[in-house]
Amino acid sequence: MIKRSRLLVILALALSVMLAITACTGGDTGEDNVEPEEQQEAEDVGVEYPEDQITMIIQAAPGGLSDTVARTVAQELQNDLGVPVVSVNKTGAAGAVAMSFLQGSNPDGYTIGYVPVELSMVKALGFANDVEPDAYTLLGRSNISPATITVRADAPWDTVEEFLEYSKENPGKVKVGNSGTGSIWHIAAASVEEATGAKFNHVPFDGAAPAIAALMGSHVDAVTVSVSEVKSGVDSGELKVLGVLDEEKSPFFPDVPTLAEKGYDITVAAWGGFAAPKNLPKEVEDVLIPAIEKAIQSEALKKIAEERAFTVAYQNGEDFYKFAKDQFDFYMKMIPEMDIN
Amino acid sequence: MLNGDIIFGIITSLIGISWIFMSRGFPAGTADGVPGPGYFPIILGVALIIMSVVLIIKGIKIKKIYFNVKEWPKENIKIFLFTILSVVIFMVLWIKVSYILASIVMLFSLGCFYKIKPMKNIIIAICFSFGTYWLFNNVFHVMLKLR
Amino acid sequence: MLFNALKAVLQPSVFLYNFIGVITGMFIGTLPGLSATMGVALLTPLTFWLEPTQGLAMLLGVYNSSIWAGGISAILVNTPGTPASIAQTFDGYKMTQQGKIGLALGANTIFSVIGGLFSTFVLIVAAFPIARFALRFGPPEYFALAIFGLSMMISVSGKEVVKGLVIGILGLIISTIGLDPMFSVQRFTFGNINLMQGVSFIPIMIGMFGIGEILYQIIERKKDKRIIKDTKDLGRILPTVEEWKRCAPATLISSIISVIIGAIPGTGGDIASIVCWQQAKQISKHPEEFGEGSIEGLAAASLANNGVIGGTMTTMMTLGLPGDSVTAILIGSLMMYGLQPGPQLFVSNPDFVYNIMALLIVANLTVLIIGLLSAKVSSYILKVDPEIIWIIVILFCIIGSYALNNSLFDVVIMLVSGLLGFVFRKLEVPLGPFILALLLGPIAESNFRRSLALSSGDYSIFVTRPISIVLFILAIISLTYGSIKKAMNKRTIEA
Repeated sequence: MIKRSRLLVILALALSVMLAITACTGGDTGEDNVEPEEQQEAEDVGVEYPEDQITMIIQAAPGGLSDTVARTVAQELQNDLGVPVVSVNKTGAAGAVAMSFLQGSNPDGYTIGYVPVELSMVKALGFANDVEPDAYTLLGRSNISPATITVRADAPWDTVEEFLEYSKENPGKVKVGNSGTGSIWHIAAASVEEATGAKFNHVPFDGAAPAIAALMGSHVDAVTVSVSEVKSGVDSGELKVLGVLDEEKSPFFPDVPTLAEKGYDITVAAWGGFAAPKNLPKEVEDVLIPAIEKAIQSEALKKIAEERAFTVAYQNGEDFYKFAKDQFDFYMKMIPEMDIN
Repeated sequence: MLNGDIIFGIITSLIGISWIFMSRGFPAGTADGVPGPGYFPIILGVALIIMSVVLIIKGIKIKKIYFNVKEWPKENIKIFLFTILSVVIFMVLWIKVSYILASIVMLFSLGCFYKIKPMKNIIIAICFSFGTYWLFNNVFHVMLKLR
Repeated sequence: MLFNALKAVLQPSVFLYNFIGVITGMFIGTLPGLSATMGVALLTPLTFWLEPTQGLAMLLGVYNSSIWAGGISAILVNTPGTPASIAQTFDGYKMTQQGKIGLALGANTIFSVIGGLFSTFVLIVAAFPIARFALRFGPPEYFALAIFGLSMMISVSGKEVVKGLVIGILGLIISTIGLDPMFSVQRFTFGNINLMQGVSFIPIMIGMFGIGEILYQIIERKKDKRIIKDTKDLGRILPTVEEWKRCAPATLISSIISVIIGAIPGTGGDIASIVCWQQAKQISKHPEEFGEGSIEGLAAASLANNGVIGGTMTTMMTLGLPGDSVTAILIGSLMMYGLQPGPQLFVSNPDFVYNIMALLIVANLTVLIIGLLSAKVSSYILKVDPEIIWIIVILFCIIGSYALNNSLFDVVIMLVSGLLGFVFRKLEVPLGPFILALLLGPIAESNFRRSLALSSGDYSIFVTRPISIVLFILAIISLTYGSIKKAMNKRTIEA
């Protein structure tokens, strides 16, 4: 009895291996075998880069700003390059899971990813040691959205001075919601404190949307999240923006002053761009970087930027690297000083 | 034989103890009274230990045996272990070779062990392996290709 | 207004796209690991080429039907297709084992649709008051809500209260793994980046219910006896008048609770269905049948997870805030059409607001028709040999837990949970408290500490706010209610 069943299993295994092998070499799943050949081709001959599906790793959940930007660019890339560009969401640890995965992928141009401002932050936060601008081939920056100081429409403050004045007179009384301790919007609030001498009570939420809900429900007094996140609340008359943490006025709130105008030189913004693993072959780079630029400058992304209130701010790979590196050095210095633990 | 309640209670109380132990290294709460990262884990650890002790005492009283392995049919235990083994093999093959191969091997060998008729078994193994690959890879855009 | 909107919606093309959405959602909802979020995300790009009404017909169809269809796999194979259908395994699967497959599938469909229609009705008549009420939920209220939910641990434990509490606290302990919600400190992650977001809930659920159940069936297999009763036909699908009457109180209470829970940002069908199941049990005349195949329990759970849809839509449309991950995507698609959700939508595009309401009604009616017609087809699965079902479920559990986040780590979590689920079943440890703890633990902890951050360490914040007081009182009632009833029962038995 035992012998028979064992025989059966061995037979079963042998048969299924055979089946699978024939299936793999014959059928439509040839993809599995194609990859190594292709890689060789890319290295040896140096032509014909996109001939297979490209995977776009997205660090955030579907529906958010990062996801929308990345998917739009993926769609444009697909139209341009003529191969499927498939978006894959891989969330966790402020994007560090996805960025770590991207960093460890094959540098063959078939795995690219969206990288947000956290690219320059997660190492300083101690989330992932292998994630920093130097660990990637940066392909191009796509979008930027500066932080704001936003309060309820019926709040007693009408200008940023009044707000700061009040926070200075009542240190620790003004409750400022952010999207999580150590998140970019927490840093925004902390930078305001540092530059102006005000003192807030920081209340971290699990993302920007809950912080805005808490603001609308009068549970906190202000939030320091981005223009694109507060735009709809301002349009509906629930919220008002007192100031923008940028050098230039936001095109979406042309009447709102920047903090730079008020004499405080603070710029904190969420940005995003596209990256591939390090050591991308030159030939692939030559195809990918112009294609990414075209996708970022496309009408489709412009339209989405208009709707979602962010700015399309293209930088080519080199400039983007310098920018991200600058930010990285800034946060490596700034975050340990913030005493967020 | 083993008394399930007592063993379960011992394991959970060990988890409780280790949680308390690990939480000691966490930073304290802020000056204005917001509890630190260790606050909840320590409370929960203590609660878990208390409840585990209650469970152990109850287990000693009732003496109910849940895992009477000797009473389980030998055939079923074999199938049980084989199911686990083939899932492990599936994972290894998936990571090292490919999803389709892993899936065909697992489905087919499980089918043999569950004594599904050979013809039916082959059809199921092939249909579901290719079917799920197509569906999840091409329609749902799941990265089934690991290398 | 609504009548005009219905007329605008009653076009063949809208019906066609709605139908496509419902069928897709049925498919996605039934497969564990593929959630409503994924279904909506998947179809969103297709809607760019459609008119707003057509596109939303498709998306709302997917949303409603995938939540409903999650119950199908919960009922047939004890594996919740979406987290929102956990509570449907409590009674639905028992009904299947008792041979009442048709009735279980029928009740799932009918009560899902009732929930969907009721919540749409609330959206039509009371969108703004409900949304305003939901905004009053700040950190102390969320904490009170979580405590209220956690107080149900005892009653979902059935007879094994001690074990239920042990496993419940264990669930809370596991929910502390990951990045600290307030301090940016890593807790119990052992340096593993995959643990930083915490142990993901869905793989645990798929493993415990799906794989755990199969392993249990394997060990319990008898040569000639099937676990599931062999039935020639699936029995009747529609409930009798008698059953309707029995379900009436459960229907009423679940309808109201689920809309409110849906409207509160960040809470959804998973929590709503467990809360409603428990509340239905408390007001039922036959609480002892809950968890043993009660149609009331199934009705409450089925109704609740679809009932939240109207609530989440309310928050989304009136405030522009996502009530859950699905509405986060829907906001994106509305913006794509140049429609900014929020109060101004009701002023600038009132027609469209009514169109959405009409589409929700159409989506629910489509689910009703397809649900009742497909009950026969779905139940063919039980005529298949259980061994074949095992094989297929194992494969789908693996691929489903992977599909969630393209993470092998999640698959490992799922498999380990599967083994644990088997062990727990053999130990007669109830799984309900564990699931409850994993869902509510993070909400309880982060909002407890967030509240104290708001009040600068003053604990009175929890008892000076009306909503949180009410919730705490409800928690105390639900904690003591069971023991009072038990004491009374004992007295009657002794007497």
